[in-house]
Amino acid sequence: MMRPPAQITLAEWDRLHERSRAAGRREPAFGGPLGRHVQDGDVGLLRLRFDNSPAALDLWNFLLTEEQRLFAARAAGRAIVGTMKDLGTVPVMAYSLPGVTAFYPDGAWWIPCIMEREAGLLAIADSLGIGESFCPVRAMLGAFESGAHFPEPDLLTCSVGAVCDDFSAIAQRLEKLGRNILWWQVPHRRPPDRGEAGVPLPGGLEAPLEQVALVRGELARVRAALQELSGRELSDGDLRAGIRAANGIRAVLRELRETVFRAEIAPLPALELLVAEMMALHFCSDRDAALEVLAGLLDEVRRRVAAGAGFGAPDAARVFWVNPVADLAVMNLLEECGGRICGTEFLFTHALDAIPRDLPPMEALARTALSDPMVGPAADRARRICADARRFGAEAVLISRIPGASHCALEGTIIADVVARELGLPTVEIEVPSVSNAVSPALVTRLTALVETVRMRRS
Amino acid sequence: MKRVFYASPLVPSELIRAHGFLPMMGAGGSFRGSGPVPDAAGVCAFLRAFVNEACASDEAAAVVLTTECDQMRRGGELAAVHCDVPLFLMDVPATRGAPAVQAAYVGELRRLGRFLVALGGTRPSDEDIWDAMAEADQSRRTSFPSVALVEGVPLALLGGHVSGRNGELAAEIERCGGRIVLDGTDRGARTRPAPLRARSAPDDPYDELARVYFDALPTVCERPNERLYDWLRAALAESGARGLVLLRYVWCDLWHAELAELERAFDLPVLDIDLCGEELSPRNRTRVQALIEALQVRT
Repeated sequence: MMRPPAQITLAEWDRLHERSRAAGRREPAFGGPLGRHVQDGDVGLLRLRFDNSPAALDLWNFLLTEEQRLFAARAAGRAIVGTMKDLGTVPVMAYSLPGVTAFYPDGAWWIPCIMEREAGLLAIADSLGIGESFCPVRAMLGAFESGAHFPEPDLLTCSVGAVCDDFSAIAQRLEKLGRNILWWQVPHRRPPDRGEAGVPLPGGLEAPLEQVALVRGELARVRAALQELSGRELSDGDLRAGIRAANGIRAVLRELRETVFRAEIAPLPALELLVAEMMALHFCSDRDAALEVLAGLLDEVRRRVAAGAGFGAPDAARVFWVNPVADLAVMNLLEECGGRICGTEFLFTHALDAIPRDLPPMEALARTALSDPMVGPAADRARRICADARRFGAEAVLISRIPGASHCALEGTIIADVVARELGLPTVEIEVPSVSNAVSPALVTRLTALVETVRMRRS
Repeated sequence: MKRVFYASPLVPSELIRAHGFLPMMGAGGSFRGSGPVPDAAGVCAFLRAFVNEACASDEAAAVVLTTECDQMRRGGELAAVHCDVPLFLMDVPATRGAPAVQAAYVGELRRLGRFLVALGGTRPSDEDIWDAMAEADQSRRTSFPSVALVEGVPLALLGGHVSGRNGELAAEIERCGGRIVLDGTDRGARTRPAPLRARSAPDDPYDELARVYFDALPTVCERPNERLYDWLRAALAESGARGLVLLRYVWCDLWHAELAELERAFDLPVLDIDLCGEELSPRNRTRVQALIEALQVRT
């Protein structure tokens, strides 16, 4: 029987978990009460309100056990690849090889939110000259230095060129601290000039043939490094199988998003949707388990939609959310302020789009990498946001700035301009630090104002 | 002659000249001007000054921005929408060495050429470009980056974009008893292109431009940026500088992130001057003074 949807505290989840366990619910190997993560130092969880479905519990437990999975992978003799910045392409290649586990050290940017001061990662970054004027991804530097959150990778890759300056600068700092990094070039994506040969990219974009060829060549260097690391050939057949598996996860996520955004009543809170989407990047270090977790979440959402059950009122303001937040607690504020998620663009749409299967695998991966929203003009992002907002019936666009992030200084203005021009929707920009308690009243005010604006426009 | 404004030393000025335009590098001093780039939190003051100044110029035929930094990319987008002056965004790769990457840079130079022709510039032959390159090379051989001849504590200046603020800082250093013996900013010795090679008949001028600019100039954006440190190590030793002044704009992550490594890599005091665009602040003046006084005491 389906549990009526609700957002509950961690203590409530632990009581619920105990009852579920007593009732005989079987959990995956990474399952258990959420409270144990707090005992391990994840005190930031105490600030969150969680979806009360068993599928959401699995999602959280899967996310919060990733560090253990990575250390277990190292202990089991698997090769560990740290894939920085490209958000979604290199892990597809790495997981095409047996015995290789890939992850994004970039994901450490959530550790200060989850662990608050317990981790001390930002203090380490400070001590290494990467202070508060940088994006919260600087926590990654602290995570590398502390060695407590993931094993030292056997291979580190980083896409550079048309990427954010913060990340490029921090990764360079990391190299100066003694890590070898395989830098691979990704050009600034542009449309083909008149008379120049172009090729279609996932997401409805187009790029010059020469840019795709450059990326394909750069990814060939990554492929060679992966082969050397694993000691075996990474064949086209292996890559095709890896692409097929990644596409399977992407397909589940696309259906999850479509179902959530189109539902009359939001069947999943914004917070859990963000966590689910993040699984697309490196499958939370276990591709098979990621698929099971996401499929379970999709089943739950389908059941809720069929039952007309969900979160918030049916007239909740339908908000399109742009950019991920460093503090997960802010996603809870959306529902608290009378809104619901109705479209997202968390900077990695290229990790959600299907990788073309009718092309040679390296060509397909190159096109995918080049469709990264970060490597192209912000106007490209804005056009996709508009198309999706129109498709899902969004009534407002919320742009979440990442403090210190070089791309956020101007891209919000560009996106807001296009949204206003093409859709006439209200937009609001908020800035979310890693721990937002101090600015929470201001964030609530801005979110509430956005929701009220939506309601006024309806009448 | 109409002007083409550009900000990066990796844009060859002789290519602009060969197309019949006057190349203008960097920004002046009008950091208060308005234009397509707003004075908003997180926006690089140099980007704002450069783009707004160029867009406001009656003599501007075009603005050339490069993708070396994130803010330039976004600023270019804003200018393209809100400014009538044609804009060209040139993709400059961050890595070096791979033939495909160098070919990408060459391809961007050719695109820049086509853009300038489309603006009404002359269509230079390869011979014309070689002539412009030879002239620029000759000019570089006979002129050297300006170095103060006054007495004082020898200091090296390092940093990126060039604006009217550089001159103010140099004057302040001299006023406080220092002198700049090494200019490692975008208008100094660091960005001096390599000497032109003797030409063979079939040589492509664009390939040679890539060699003297792209292959030769050590930049902070290069990954890895070891060449910047190699250059600095040699240049500091040769110059006899006793201190290093890093001149950067607030929100320039690329230079800011190097500060700690600069302090570690060289056995010199490093002074971090962060500019937000307006005139050198009292805080920065005091810090310049303190550095020079400390070095005078050590003598």
